[in-house]
Amino acid sequence: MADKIKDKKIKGVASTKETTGVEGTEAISQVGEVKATEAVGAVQGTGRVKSARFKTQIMSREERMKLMSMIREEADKMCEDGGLSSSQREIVKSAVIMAVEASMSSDEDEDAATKDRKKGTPGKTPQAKED
Amino acid sequence: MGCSEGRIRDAMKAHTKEDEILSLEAANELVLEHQGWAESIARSVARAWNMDWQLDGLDGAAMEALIFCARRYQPNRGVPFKGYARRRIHEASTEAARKSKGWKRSLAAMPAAEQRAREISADLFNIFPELRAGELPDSGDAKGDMRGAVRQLLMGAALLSAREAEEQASPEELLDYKRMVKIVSSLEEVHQLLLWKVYWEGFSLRKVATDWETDGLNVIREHKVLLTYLHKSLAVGRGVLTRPKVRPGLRIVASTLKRKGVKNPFAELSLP
Repeated sequence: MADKIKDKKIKGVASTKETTGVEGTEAISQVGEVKATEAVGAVQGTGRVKSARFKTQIMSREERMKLMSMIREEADKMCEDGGLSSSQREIVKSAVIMAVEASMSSDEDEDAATKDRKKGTPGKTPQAKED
Repeated sequence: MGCSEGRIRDAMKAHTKEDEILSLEAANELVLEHQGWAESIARSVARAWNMDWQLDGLDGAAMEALIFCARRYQPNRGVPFKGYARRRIHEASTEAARKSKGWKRSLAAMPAAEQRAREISADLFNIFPELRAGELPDSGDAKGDMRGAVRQLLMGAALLSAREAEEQASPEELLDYKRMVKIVSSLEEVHQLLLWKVYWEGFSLRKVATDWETDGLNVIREHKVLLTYLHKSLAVGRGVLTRPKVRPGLRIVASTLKRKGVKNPFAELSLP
């Protein structure tokens, strides 16, 4: 095997077609001393997240009821000092309640939709009026 | 449920990295998996507005939006599908509700106050798009309390209601909002213009930021400050609060508006 390898002579090197010369290098002027690292301090507990948003879609029934009563309470306060008339207050209050209710979807709704689909008899929303 | 999730996972694995969106098969699985969830969004919209989620076509709109989202969903981005699709499904449901015959028919049947409340609630979604994602607006309060978010919503609804009263040229109703409009007209010009564009012209906060060539957060945060100030001013009664200063990020906009001689829109409102 070794003999065979010896027999194979390198006949020649094909020249490289093109090379670009290195234009020049700049000397490194100064190297600073690498300083010793300091120990990394312990990680402190995370602070409270500022202005976190409340997710209406994962609220429990009690939390939702609390939210609705808070809307009524705050709307009444707006009206107390003559900010809004009582008729306007009712409009504003109802509008906010509708918007918040429309943004909520519950697991119960999802379960009901799944049941309806399995039965093949589509259901209606509990409070929807018949035409 | 578990089996279906497994199939989706397998299909997700099958799709190559070059294709960022899911294969049609995987997208269809995603639709089947989330159909009940999408319907629950349509149901909640219908319930809030006292409509029928099927007769009024909210179910179809929600389903279409779900399919649209599933076919464009890019799992590689690391955003959960529900988080990605909820706003679009909710928007499709509310748009379908507003265009439906049921909306117009029930408007004629219901009392005027309820009609207006429903219109205002629909407009609130454009001002507080986070509601579509099932979240209350950020109160901007370090305590992050729910009450602050509720006040923001109430103040937003009050401004929308004032606009409706002004549009309907109802002097009796506009008189109810006289004090609020006076407080608004005492604000800095840039603040007045921000409220005018959002509540009277119906622009989103992002659109206002784009028009003013500033960062969206500048406008969003200033809007929160303004609503908090207006709410406090109304609650204080006749007391006077220091009006909010223009935040640094909007000062260039404010000076540009002054240079252009933009008039205060609220000062020009004819109050009875």
